[in-house]
Amino acid sequence: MLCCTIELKSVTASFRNPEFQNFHKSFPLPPPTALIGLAGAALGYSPRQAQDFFDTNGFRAGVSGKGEGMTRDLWKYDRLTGTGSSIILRELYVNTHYRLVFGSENHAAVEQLRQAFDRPFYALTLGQSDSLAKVMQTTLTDAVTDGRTLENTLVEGDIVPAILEQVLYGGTFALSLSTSDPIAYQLPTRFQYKSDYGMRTVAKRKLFSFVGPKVTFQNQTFPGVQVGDVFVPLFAL
Amino acid sequence: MKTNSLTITYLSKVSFASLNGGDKEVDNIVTIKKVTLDNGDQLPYLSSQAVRRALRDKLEELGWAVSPVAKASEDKGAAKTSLDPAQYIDDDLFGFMDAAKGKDAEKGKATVRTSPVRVEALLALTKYQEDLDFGTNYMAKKVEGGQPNIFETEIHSGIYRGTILIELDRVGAGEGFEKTGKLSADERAKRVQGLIDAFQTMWSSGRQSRFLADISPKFMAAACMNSKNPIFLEAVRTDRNGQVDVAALQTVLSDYDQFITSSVLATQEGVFGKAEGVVSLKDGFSAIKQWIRDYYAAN
Repeated sequence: MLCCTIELKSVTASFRNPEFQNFHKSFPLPPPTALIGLAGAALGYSPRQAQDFFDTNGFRAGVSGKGEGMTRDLWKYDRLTGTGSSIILRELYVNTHYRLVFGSENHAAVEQLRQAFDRPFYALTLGQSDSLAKVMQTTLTDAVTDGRTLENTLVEGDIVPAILEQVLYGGTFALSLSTSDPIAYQLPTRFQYKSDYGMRTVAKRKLFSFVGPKVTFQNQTFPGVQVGDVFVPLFAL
Repeated sequence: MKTNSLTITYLSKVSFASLNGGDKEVDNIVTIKKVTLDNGDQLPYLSSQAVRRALRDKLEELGWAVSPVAKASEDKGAAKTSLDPAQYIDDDLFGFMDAAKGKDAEKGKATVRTSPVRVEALLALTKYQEDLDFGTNYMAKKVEGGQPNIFETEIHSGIYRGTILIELDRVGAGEGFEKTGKLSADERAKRVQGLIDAFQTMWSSGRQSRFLADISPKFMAAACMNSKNPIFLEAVRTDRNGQVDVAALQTVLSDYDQFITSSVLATQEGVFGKAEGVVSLKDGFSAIKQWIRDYYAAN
């Protein structure tokens, strides 16, 4: 499998959790559909075309990283209906640094993706349309390895039992800095589109876990790619 | 490779300001928007939506007709503009979305123009020092001579950093121009140069009556690119003496050399020193306008 790795930085980033309405809570990392959307923007594809591109080429993906801080940005807007203004609070991660990986057996598709991230069709953004992303570096690699240590990353399935099991092997761990947030989510992985840019409905979900602080597994490995000094585990898109 | 974008990362010097109101935490303290870093430091910022508003207001002040704002098409939607990018510069540069339903209340028929201009928030490089301006008012009193109400306003002073990226190939073309066709090269160039003028003299309207603040750029790193990448995004910074780290910017220019068509570093000497390789703001803006003329003359 050939993989394209992309290192990104941004000043702000927000990946909206659709369960929340007036308070736009953000996932800690871009979920699978956000990764597809980001690649679609780089390729110049519509949301539906981007999804088809990933389906056709059987891509695997991975993402690791975090921000240096966050805020709850206040939006105040007037509907001009005479009922006054409304507000929305949106969580924004600040000064972020992410490593993304996209891998496929179709090498031409991976190289196409790398070229797209080098020269994106649309300016890349992370969440809202002004959260500009800077592409620091792109590389191609076929070095998929097994890693034991996960930190600030996204993995398939519910990771919590596996983390707790590390106690049996004398390991130490911390689940999350903010223990009020869930770790495992049923995230959308596919949408049904009415047209290229039209309304969409969730067509498929899969269980994923957001891993926060570092945990080293004594009895389990994860296939992934080393991007600099960061290990990025891969999952099926 | 063809040139397609213009990116500018800039520094503004804000001397004494309460730039952008945050969510109220205490009833009689008027807060400013801040991000909280993992180490506990708080950095004030002017949101990207406020920067857009500042640019739009400035365009109007400079004589451009801006798109009239009207009620939303949907009951719970936000107000919308005329959605006419051929006629109005702000609909062209800043894009729009109207979530109106189609025939027979069919959903998913939004009218969208993806903004070819992206503006990041203006984020302070120095932390909030808990400074508060003390004030009193009589606004809530029905009779004259009553006890005044006290209130406090969070204020901050420091250097702020922001970024603008303009997708030159999408200005005056694409979504919203299906009926009229893309604008003439001359008009497209005028609009982008108009935006640059607004940017050079940018002024935020928030709380300026009590805290007059200048958010116009005092240093900028700009590049005309064949890749839509905001290469200076996090790289423009100041050292301990408050001077711009020009050496760091030279490494950015070197790292992204193959993607850069032209570049310029420009400063206002009254605020930052002028290191080698850095020109005056006047010359910097002249260079940017020439890039714009050259781009549209060739496209």
